[in-house]
Amino acid sequence: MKEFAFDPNDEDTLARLRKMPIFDAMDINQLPKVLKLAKLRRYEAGETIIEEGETDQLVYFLILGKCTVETEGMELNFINNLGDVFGEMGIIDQKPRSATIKAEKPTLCLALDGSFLERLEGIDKLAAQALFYRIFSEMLAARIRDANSKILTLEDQLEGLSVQRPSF
Amino acid sequence: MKQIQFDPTDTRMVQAIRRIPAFAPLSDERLEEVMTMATIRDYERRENVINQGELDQCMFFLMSGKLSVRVDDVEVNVLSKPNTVFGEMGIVGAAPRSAAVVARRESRCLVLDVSFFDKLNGRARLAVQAFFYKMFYHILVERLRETNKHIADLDLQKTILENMNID
Repeated sequence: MKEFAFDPNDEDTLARLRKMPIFDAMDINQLPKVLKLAKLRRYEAGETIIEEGETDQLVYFLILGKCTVETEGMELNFINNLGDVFGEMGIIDQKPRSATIKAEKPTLCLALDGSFLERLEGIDKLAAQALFYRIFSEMLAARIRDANSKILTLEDQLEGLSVQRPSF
Repeated sequence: MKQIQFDPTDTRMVQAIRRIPAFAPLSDERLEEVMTMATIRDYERRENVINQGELDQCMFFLMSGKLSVRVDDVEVNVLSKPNTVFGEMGIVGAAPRSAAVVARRESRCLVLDVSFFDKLNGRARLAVQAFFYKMFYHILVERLRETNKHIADLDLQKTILENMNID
């Protein structure tokens, strides 16, 4: 993994960030100030970005590439859309990471320390907090809806399985 | 259902709100702003608090009583702990209610209608939004953790059942 500071003159990356709802909604003057707190991280294929069980507070935004999500060695999901956010639970507390995230291809992420919302200076902190928490909440709500429909499917399957079995 | 508008001069009401941990960080002044959008609703036994499939922008805090969460009329959860938050999913990303909530016995809820955000202006609006979205975020993170645990549990049960041999 190579880490470097965000270069405010990097128009290409800036343009990509602008395509993410979270950065697009941000005031043009505020964006560079938030990005000053961020790091860009480049991963080779196969490298681990987040390790299950570890505690750290980084939140990642995918800029380029593709990642896999796995727990206990089982692959659960992919992250491959520009602006996909992962590791965002690190904002809340320091519970151990619940999944491992690996780069499947060369991957570029923006990493922000979870405490960035409290550390913003010289910009409208309230506006930034309102924006970030709103967008993060919407994202989580979407994940919860997905998870809930998965629960319903699993419950149906379980019911199907248990009627097939003789009762003891 | 009986609805009482929240009265900021009613000390008992204010104290009841103060007992909800989510509101603890709010200053008195801010709390008053928030409470302009709050109502207290009393439900009879068997009355619907939330209808499945409906769209609204309310979130609820259970103050007293006991509620049944039902999907397609099957009970999936029971809420009885005071200060439990529910219905918060309706606020973020307008989607129809995925479950109904029905009073199992007489219940009292504090209801916040978040469409009120639009009535506030300037700094007050930003401050209230920042506070609320941060609160949702915390609630949703917990909710997602519970949900993921539930999925892992069901997955395990499924694996066990699938691997059971029928003799």
